[in-house]
Amino acid sequence: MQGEAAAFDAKHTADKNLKEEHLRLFRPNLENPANKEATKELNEKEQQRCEEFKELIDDTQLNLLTAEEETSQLFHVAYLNNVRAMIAIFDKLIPRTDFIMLPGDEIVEKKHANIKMLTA
Amino acid sequence: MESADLSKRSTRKWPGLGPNVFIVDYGALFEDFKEFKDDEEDAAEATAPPTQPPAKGKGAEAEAPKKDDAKDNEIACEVEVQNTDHHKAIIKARNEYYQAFKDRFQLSLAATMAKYDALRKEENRFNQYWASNLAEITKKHI
Repeated sequence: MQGEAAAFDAKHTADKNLKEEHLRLFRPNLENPANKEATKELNEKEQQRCEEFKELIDDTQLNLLTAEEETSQLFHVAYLNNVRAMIAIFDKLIPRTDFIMLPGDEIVEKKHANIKMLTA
Repeated sequence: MESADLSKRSTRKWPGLGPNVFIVDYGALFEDFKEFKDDEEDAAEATAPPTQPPAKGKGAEAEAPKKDDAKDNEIACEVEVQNTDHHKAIIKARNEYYQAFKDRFQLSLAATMAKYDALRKEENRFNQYWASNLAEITKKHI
């Protein structure tokens, strides 16, 4: 996805430069009938640039959405498998509370270290 | 039975998170895909989908969730697990991180759409500007 976006950014920069170049050439002197052919040529170039850039936008947008969807589907499958595995593992584990008490397992209270604490 | 202590039950049911949301609805996002989507829906209604035998081998695990989407899917559907703190933690983590990824997915789609739609809009605006200026310039080209 990052590669796709980076490739688009590079082409976008090139397109921006071309667009600025076309705008620079798009001068009022083209009004002169003598420049009819030049105007026509410039307009054709600009229309071609515009079409190509729009196609690039469409393709990139679609590719990014598709990549996002595919990655997320992979995540979904992995996540589902992970949840199943976790449940299966913990189904097999014996919780601490299920162990019975054996002689000697009584909770031994901690004795105070200092007699002064008891008499205070 | 309803007054019984639920913590003493051996199993507990947890609600599902709904159907798989990681699907891009191209028909809703693009006008051009709308007709295509409608055609697909019509075709799907006309012919019932063929039932595939369960895949075996390497790809079997990856295919399983699609098959299980309707039922027996631990994410989409209600799941009944043992009533322990561990299982509770699993389900809570499942919900939390699924929601987090779902939000990220939707944000990512929205960001992609917004960025490229804005570029397309700007290109159309520039094209109109160019066309109107060209019309002004070529008035004298007879």
